[in-house]
Amino acid sequence: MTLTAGLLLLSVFFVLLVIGVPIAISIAGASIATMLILFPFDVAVFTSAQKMVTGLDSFALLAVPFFVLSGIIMNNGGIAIRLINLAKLLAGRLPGSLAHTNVMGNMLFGSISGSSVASAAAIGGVMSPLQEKEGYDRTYSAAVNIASAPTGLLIPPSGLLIIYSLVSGGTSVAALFIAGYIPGILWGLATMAVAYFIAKRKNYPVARKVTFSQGFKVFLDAVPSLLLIVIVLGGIIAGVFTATEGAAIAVAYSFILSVIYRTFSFKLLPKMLLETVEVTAVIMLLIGTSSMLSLVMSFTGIPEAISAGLLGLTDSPIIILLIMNIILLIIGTFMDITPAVLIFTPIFLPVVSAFGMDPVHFGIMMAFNLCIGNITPPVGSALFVGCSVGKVKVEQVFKPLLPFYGAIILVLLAVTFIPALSLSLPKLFGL
Amino acid sequence: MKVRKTVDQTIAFVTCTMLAFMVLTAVWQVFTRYVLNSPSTVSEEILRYSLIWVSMLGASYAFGKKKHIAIELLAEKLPKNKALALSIMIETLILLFAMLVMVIGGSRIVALTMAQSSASLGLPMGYIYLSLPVSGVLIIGYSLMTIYEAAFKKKTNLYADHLDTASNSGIEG
Amino acid sequence: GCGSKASGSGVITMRLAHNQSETHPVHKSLAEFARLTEEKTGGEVKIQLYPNGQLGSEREVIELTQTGAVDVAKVSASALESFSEVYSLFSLPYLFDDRDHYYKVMNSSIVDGIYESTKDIGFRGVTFYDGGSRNFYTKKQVIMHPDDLKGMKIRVQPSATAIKMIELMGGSPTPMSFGEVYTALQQGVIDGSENNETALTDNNHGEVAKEYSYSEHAMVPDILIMNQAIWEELSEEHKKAISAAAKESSAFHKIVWEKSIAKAIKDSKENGVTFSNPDKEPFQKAVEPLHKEFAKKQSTAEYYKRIREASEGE
Ligand code: NA
Ligand code: NA
Repeated sequence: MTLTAGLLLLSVFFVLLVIGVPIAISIAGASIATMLILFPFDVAVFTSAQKMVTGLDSFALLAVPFFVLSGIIMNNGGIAIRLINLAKLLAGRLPGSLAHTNVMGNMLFGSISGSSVASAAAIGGVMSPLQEKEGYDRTYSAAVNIASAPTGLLIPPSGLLIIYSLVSGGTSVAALFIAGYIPGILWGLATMAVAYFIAKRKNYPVARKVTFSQGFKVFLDAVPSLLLIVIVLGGIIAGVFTATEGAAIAVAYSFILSVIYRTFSFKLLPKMLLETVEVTAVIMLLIGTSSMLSLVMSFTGIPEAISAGLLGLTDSPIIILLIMNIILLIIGTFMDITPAVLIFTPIFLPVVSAFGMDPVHFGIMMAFNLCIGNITPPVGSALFVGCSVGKVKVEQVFKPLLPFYGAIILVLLAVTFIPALSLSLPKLFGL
Repeated sequence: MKVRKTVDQTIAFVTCTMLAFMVLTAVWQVFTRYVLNSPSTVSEEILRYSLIWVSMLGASYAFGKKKHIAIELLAEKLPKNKALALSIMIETLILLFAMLVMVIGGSRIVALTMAQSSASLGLPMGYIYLSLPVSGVLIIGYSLMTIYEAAFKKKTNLYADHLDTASNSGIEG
Repeated sequence: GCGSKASGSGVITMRLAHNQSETHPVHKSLAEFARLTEEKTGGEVKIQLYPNGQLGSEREVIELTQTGAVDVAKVSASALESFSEVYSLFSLPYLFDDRDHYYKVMNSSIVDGIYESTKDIGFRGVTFYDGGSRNFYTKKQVIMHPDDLKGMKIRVQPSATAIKMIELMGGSPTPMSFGEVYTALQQGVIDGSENNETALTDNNHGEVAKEYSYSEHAMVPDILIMNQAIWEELSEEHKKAISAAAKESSAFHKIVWEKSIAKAIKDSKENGVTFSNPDKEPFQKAVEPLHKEFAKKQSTAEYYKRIREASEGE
């Protein structure tokens, strides 16, 4: 039963996916086909419909539209430029200062907007022309921008980790959020290290010195934007509000801030809301259909079979984690982050739980893996956007990206095998 | 097409209004707990059920706008007439899904749960499940329009790879 | 039935869903029910357990039982409230005077009518399992009197009766899903919650809530439900065998449950939780308006009367 069901599920899913059926419908189609061997037609149809709705019936999921909306408001709110000025200050006088500014900008802006694509566009869009003017290679600056774009998905708040929390059976969102800091920052530092060596070899210019008063003004300018992180994360960790409520507060705060900065036009509001509805609906349809999939999987025992297979292969957690990393990296090359988290969490989590891995640690490892997929060809949204704002082709940027991939994968291995990188901060805060 | 535009605008208006209302409700929830010190007992349920409606209606809108994520690699390599046939086939599959699961399955659930009431508002649960058949019908409508355009106007209209969906926003990267 | 599969040999296999882990007492009792059923039917009826909520939340599983995708399910009586109003009686605070009254009623013919009340919507009750008594527990301040609840945010299940109860006692009801309670307590989003003792251990609430107070305001049983069509298709002997197996497993559960509560109390004490016994009368007084309401409501009036009368004979 398991084998037949498993093969049917996989083959239907794969065929639908390859011919270009939307991923959500491919998941649903494969689930229904498998359900039809378990149930009579009307029960299969009823159960699928039920799962589509109940899969979305979660208070935690509300954080998704709220964080998306606050990200969109900030993207239109003049916040990016203030953060870039701050990043310039922080990047200081390293060789290739502008490249480091780009990385820091992505970390700062990604942190609050929660989107790799938004930061690749907002930060890279400002930084690329500046770098070109100072004689940086276009492919180099695009590669730096692309390689550092996903850091904001790991540095909280992060919609991705909210979805992981849901599918992993209620892992604490607060713990996941704060666990993402060190891995996200390490990713940024790794890209800066690579950028440093290349810049040094190519003799890219160093930024001019800034006076203290100039620096102080830049810092003051950025404070209101940074306060968002303090308010939202501080509020979540201190228990003033839940993650979902925190997300709604983020909307309110970014809205007020943009009004104060006079970069907000009420005419744009409907467009922003509509964009949020679209992004949310696309994700929610995936979540709804994935909950059909997880029902089918628990009926057929596919996760147990895969779990037994993996555990039967070897009893070394190190090898199992390496295998998982490779699978997730491959999946990430062509599949988007959200569906991959939805599909692979229920399969892999029981395996790693069997040898005592913390679900928070696993969530960070999985997110890290899939974020790499976000910047690899053939399909990667941050890669595409980074190429388009950097005015380069995917084929041109692939080679300059290789050393960055190498550095990021080294960090991935560290995150995988050193639990403290993910777990020490949550422990510190008693989460 | 005029019908398409009207339907688009109606869904957009309803969902955007609901979303704005949801933000206010969530802020209100924090306010009642911390400032009024008497937590709202209905906001949590209102928010959860609004999310379901916004998601379902928004999903149908996204079908109309081809915003759902798909892998386009095959279609890009096909000659035009084959790409048209493929687009018709994909739409037919979507139509089938919307018909079987959302309209037929959804209506059965609505019928079954009209007598069931929600925990704090006491609303019939059928009102929540009603989002399924409603958006199912809308999806079928959009699919038929796309099939018509492909068959008679030779317009290929495929689902998005990642760029369109994700651009400028969101957690989708 | 559409969910059950009768193979050529005439063996009926039923799916039983519940949302507790395999180490929870109720899982053991359901396994006992499965074993007894198989034994009593000479292997003709087999029951396969699906624990951990893998087939869905309680609400979903009830719907699946209505349609027959699931044959049997163990769900809380409070989850059944929204399907059949009569089950809301079990959320009525102080419906039962004490545990003896509770067992007397649950083992009497009174509940048969309640079990049958959902026949028309596709399922029936079969038996009950003790779900313990619900009591208040808080981070710091011990609850000895309703006045102690003043200004306190107490998490309740999202149900109208539970909300009303806390309001009547003077606290601020905060509806929240169970999974959020630990963090909410820890971070002070709420001051306390109410549940049986296993919440302290199985869900680690005892790590953050140190005062447990036996208000015993509710005893909400778990109910075993079965798809009505499948029940009707069974032969008379099978019906008898299953009913007997169900009753025996309930008796078995009483013992398992008591043991697990004793262990939960012992473990919690070691973790620094203090247990107190307040006078129940002021709490009972506070919720009298709710009793009046349930005595009047058409859906609950008859059963309310019979259950309350059952206590007076003693
Ligand atoms: Na972020
Ligand atoms: Na990729």
